[in-house]
Amino acid sequence: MNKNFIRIIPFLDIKNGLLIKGINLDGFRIMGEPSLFSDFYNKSGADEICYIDAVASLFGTLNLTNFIKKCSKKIFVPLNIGGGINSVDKINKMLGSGADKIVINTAAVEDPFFIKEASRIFGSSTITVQIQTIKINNNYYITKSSGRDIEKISPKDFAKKMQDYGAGEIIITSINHEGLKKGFDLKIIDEISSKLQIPCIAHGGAGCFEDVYNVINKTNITGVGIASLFHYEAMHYFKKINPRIGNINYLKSVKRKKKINTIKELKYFLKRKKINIRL
Amino acid sequence: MKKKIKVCIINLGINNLHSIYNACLKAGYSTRVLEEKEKLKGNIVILPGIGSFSSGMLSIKKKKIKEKIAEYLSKPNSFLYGICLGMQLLFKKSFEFKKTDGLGLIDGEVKKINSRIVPHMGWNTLKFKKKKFHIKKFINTYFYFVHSYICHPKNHDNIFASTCYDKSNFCSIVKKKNIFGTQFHPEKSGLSGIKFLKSLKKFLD
Repeated sequence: MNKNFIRIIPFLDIKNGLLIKGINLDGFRIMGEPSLFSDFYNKSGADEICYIDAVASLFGTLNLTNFIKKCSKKIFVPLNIGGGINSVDKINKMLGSGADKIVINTAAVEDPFFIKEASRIFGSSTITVQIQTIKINNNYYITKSSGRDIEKISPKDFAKKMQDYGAGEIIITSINHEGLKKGFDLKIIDEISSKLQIPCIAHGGAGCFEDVYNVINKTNITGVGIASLFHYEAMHYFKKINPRIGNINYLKSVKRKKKINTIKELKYFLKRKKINIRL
Repeated sequence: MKKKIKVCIINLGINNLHSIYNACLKAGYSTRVLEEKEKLKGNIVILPGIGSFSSGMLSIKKKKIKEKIAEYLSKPNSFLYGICLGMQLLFKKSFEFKKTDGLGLIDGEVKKINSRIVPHMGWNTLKFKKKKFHIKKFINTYFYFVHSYICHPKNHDNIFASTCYDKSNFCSIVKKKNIFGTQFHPEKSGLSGIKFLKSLKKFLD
């Protein structure tokens, strides 16, 4: 039984200033204005909020600063920001705009020493490394640039290396499970989290409350990253639910008889199951 | 109209100034960030900080903040408040990476957390030593912690509140006369954090 304190963290993938949601980190669907969603999650009791610019590393851009500035005026829970951050200067800029923790993926894979440098300057707890694991023929590898480029490195070894280099936290994303809402990849999450002495966050695959309970119970994580399960319910709370562009017909077709505040409900559910959680 | 309480935030270079600034505004304080050549003034001075102890001290030396704080504290009605690394900097010395001298305003040391999972990252509650009236609303409230090192005040009377992590207690709020420090981040603790910031002055007496 996992006795750690568990954080529930909504993951917001952003592309060109719009909230998107993909499947296996690909095939993005536009969900709408990200600040609507983050305000809602903030009010509903999210323990942290994580923004990832999904295309920043690919295009080499850094678009989130203005957005974070706006968010940090209203949101008083920790903001994790990621996407295209590959220099001390960029970290400084992000922290100056109101970010609290920096999520690094591509830069960590390309130049592991960058993590060493960043954690020495900004402190371990500011630097989070996202490890995107992909399963091919029963072997696990890591990827960079939001799952586009596969590197033949074992996620376990890479996670250990990142810990030794001073990363303060690891996000374990399973690409094969991401967006499918069929449950987490318990095997790889357990293998990584049981070996590390730093906090680990499981991400990718939460489809129902039971999935979240399982991943908490069967692994040694301290946080759960959730996107689809929250986004598709949260959008029913907004007056203007639909974005102006994208597959509007699909979003309109998703009808609910009753609105469900999935963050709140999930937290009550976990509390009933005796998980150490903040209500 | 009631006069607003004036808050001055020290800028050490490496910190999340934006969040603290916004949280103080939200708490209803008239807030400003200290300029390079200015003296410290205001009803509350906040020493924020994330990052490593040595880089914090380096910045303090460079910007001559130690002298400014000493001058400020000698005035009546002064109130110094350290957050996270800011709290740790108040102590005599730290063992982060290498032994480093701090501001030395409170006698004690800063040492690594003795636990399986470090850093301590997440929400936790406070246990107050004395249960006064204005403290009651913060019992069983969650605050956001993120740190790898903890403070050990020499004089246990300086421990205002403690928090339990991995079965052992550590000092999460320190108070010595008009010097106050919290290990958690009130600016990141949602509405309860804003409430905490609002009642800062009341903790003095």
